[in-house]
Amino acid sequence: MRRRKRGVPRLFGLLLLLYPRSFRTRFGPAMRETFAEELTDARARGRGAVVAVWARAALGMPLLALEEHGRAVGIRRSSGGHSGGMEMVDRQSRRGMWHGASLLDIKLGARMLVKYPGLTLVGVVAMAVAVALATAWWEFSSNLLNPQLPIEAGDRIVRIQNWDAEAGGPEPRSLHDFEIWQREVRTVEDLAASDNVEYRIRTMDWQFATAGGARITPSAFRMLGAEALLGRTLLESDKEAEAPPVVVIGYDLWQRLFNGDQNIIGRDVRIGRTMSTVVGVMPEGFAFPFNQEMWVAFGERAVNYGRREGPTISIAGRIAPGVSLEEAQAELGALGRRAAADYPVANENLRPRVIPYAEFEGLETTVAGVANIVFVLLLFIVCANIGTLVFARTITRGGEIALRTALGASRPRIVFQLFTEALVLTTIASVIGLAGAAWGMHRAMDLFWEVQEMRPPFWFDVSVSVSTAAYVAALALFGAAVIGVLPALKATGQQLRSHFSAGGSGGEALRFGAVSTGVIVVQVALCVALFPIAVLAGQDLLPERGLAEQFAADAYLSGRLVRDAETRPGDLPAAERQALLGRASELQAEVGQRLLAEPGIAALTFADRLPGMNHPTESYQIESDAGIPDSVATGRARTLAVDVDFLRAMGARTIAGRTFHPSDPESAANVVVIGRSFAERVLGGRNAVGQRLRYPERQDEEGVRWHEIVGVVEDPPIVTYGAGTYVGVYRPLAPGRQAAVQLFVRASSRAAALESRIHEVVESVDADLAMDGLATLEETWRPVRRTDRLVLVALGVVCGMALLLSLAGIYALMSFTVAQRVREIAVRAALGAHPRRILLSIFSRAFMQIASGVLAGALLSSLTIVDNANGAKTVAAVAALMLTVGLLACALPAIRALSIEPADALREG
Amino acid sequence: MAKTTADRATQFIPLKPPVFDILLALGEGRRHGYGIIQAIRERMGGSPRIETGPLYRHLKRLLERGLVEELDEPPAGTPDDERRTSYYGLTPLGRAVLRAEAARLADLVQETRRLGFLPARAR
Repeated sequence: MRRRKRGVPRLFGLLLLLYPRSFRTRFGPAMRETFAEELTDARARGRGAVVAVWARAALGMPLLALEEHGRAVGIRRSSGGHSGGMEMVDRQSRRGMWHGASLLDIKLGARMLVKYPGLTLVGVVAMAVAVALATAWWEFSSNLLNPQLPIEAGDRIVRIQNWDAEAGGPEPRSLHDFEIWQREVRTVEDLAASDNVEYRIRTMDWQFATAGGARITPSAFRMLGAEALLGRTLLESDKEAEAPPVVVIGYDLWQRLFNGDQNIIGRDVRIGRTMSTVVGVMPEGFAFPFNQEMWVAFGERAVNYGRREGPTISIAGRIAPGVSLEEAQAELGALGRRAAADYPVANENLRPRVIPYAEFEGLETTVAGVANIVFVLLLFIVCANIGTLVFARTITRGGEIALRTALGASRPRIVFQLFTEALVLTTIASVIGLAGAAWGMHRAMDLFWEVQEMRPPFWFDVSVSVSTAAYVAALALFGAAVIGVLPALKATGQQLRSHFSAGGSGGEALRFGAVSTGVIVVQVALCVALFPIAVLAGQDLLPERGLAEQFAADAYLSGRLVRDAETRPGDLPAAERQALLGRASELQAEVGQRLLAEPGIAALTFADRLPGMNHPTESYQIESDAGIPDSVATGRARTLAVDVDFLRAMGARTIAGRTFHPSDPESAANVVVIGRSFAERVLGGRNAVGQRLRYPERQDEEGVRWHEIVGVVEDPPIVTYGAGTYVGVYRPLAPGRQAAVQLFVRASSRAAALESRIHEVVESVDADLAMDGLATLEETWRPVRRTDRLVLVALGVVCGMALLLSLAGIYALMSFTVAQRVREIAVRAALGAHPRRILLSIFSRAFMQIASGVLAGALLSSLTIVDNANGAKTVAAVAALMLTVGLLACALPAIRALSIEPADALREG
Repeated sequence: MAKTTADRATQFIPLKPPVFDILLALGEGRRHGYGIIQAIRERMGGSPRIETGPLYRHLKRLLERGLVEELDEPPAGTPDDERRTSYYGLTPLGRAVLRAEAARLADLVQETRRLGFLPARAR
């Protein structure tokens, strides 16, 4: 039976890219077809067969591709022998070093890879990982620094901010200025304002979804040149107060909520509290202004508000043809100065700014640059290590190099050949690294947005760009220079050549002691310094042992209790805001009571958020005995505002002091309870109860407040399990402070079965209330766990690679230096030196080198890790491993030297 | 004087084993790339085998030397949904080379048998 063809993965396409274009054009399609069938066939035989097919393709095709490149330029092998290449290289070198010879060098390089599979494997894997990391960061940071809007002439779309020079941030309440700019500005066209709102949308058959939406001026669609996929976009007439409410929805929402219904136009939906008609569906990928999925007309007028009041808006526009960003800035600047003169109270400190639309201010060019340098430095360290191994190999090829020199090859010619050989290795590693980065970036970013519970901005795209490919090519060249040129210069130096000309019999001792000592010390120091950091980072990601068994995440349901509102509380005047929040908290309490009366619900409580999901840390200070902030007990911790019942309901045992009393939220005492891990890490053995803590960044009318620690609790499993790390501080959740709270329900039977009942109860309390994202904690936390696992695996791979490479490097260097002294050792033994004395001299040197490295590394790590038993253990373990490998590397050649017969040693020496 | 096809064929002898395998697979009729791999594998009883990369490397050389030709049309009777991008078949020179290599191998077998390393053929 003939099998059906299957799609060929992108990796094979990348492998094909290695071939010359002419070959690819002629055979590429047929090769794809054939490989797809090979894969299909292998799948039928099992996973092992698939891996084998991929391994053979990944290892074999780059070499075949190199051969084709050689042929493509017309260099034909004149001699069939495998060593024949060498004389050919030199013959060519006489014709011109840089012409043609490199193609044969490539071939020789490919042969070297096959001849030394161990070195190839270590080198390719290590370099591929380093290239993948550097590439991923490059792609990610260039996405943030030089974002490209995926629309026509996207570079002309700008954002206009009213920068508040006093507050150091944009003033989003700029409706008055927006209207003036819309009338008067000539350098920026189709000015549009939008106000982002989280909408709850319900269909008439009670399907509902929460979606990021925007109230937006219809001019935005003109500015972007965007047209609807179905129906129409918003019109100026939709803005009028008496116009019927309409909505335009995004492609994904259309698929998600309406299953891509072609008859969607004209259907009614409820958005918040308003019935609206769907008038359009936007094409896939349209998500202006950021990641929105639905758009309603923005009809607010400045006349209804005072200056610097009203909705928070963001403003965008398209730079007019033939106008530069600077000219637009000049015009807006002039209008800003005029407004400051006309309305000094409101506008004195406001400075309009015109910036590229997708500019991201969270990452500075210098920071990104420094990070790039760090990754290149990492690559350098990796390459220096591989270079060490290559150097050892080059020494073993001393005979070949001497012969080539005798045949007339110049030193630069030989160095160039060794560089090209290294380039073959780094090219293969870079292609693999690039493929790995492309795959890993997509996976990591998908997980990132899932954990952040948001959609990415519409212009964010981590596919490999041309600049990234060029960057990888540059990394390959850089790597080859480090791996090939430095060892080649060393190996072809005067000292070494005279060594080889003496037949390599040790006539002149080969000394590169200072270099090797330096490399070993740095190597060991870096490993010792960096490993404990990695181990501690990994530990933070691992949930506490045994917790998974203790805590049944599928017995808990959690969701956000939200209330549809026309306006965000923050946009309201203080009195109205207070009334709204007061009503919200009454409703929260009622939902709690009604749900507790339901069968199947064993416990119920609230908190301000779900621990573990995008939970930021805040800086804190702990008061010292002297009453001032303790400089040591300062750091960042996660804080959770919880219902007074939360800790009890979640089974957190009180270790010291007390948990919350019902009077705590309203009391002026500002009490907090801390978790055990936090108490141990921050306060050590001190008694926590009675100490005071404050958040320097949290300031209200009374300044920064102190909070008294009234109790220490065992970290509740729900918190440690979900967060993967700990919440430090719990403070009481005050009613009437939050419009939305996170509800936690512990089920006495199957949690999932309660979901629909909870929705019903919530909606029966108030038609505007709803539960958002209600799911078992098991489901909710799944992406967090996947992210943690991914980070752990990545950390493990990087650390494993670094350790392996370091050990290989140290082993090669040490055994090489001792092997160089074999004859000297044998002669010393022949002259009567005691073997113990000889061994002692060899080992003491190795010991000193490694010990210096350990000492330097321990010093470095003590700067980053304070008082951590695991850190110290890791330092000790890494040091012991390095020492063992180092001594072993010395022992083998030393024992060999001692076993040489004294008479032989004296005769040959 | 122009060389005959048989004379030209001897220039290519001896063949590398994978090249002989490919020519032999095409000796049965035109095939697409994966068809060649399958034919070789079946003849070898499952393994050893040749993969996509090396196969096309050899095919390129064979095409350049005029031993194999590339055809757009599949063998008669191939259903439309089983059509492939390219098919390959032997040229007259390719047939001659295959024949010459087979004769060389047969001579070798005969010589091996004469020396007693193979049992005499049953009569």
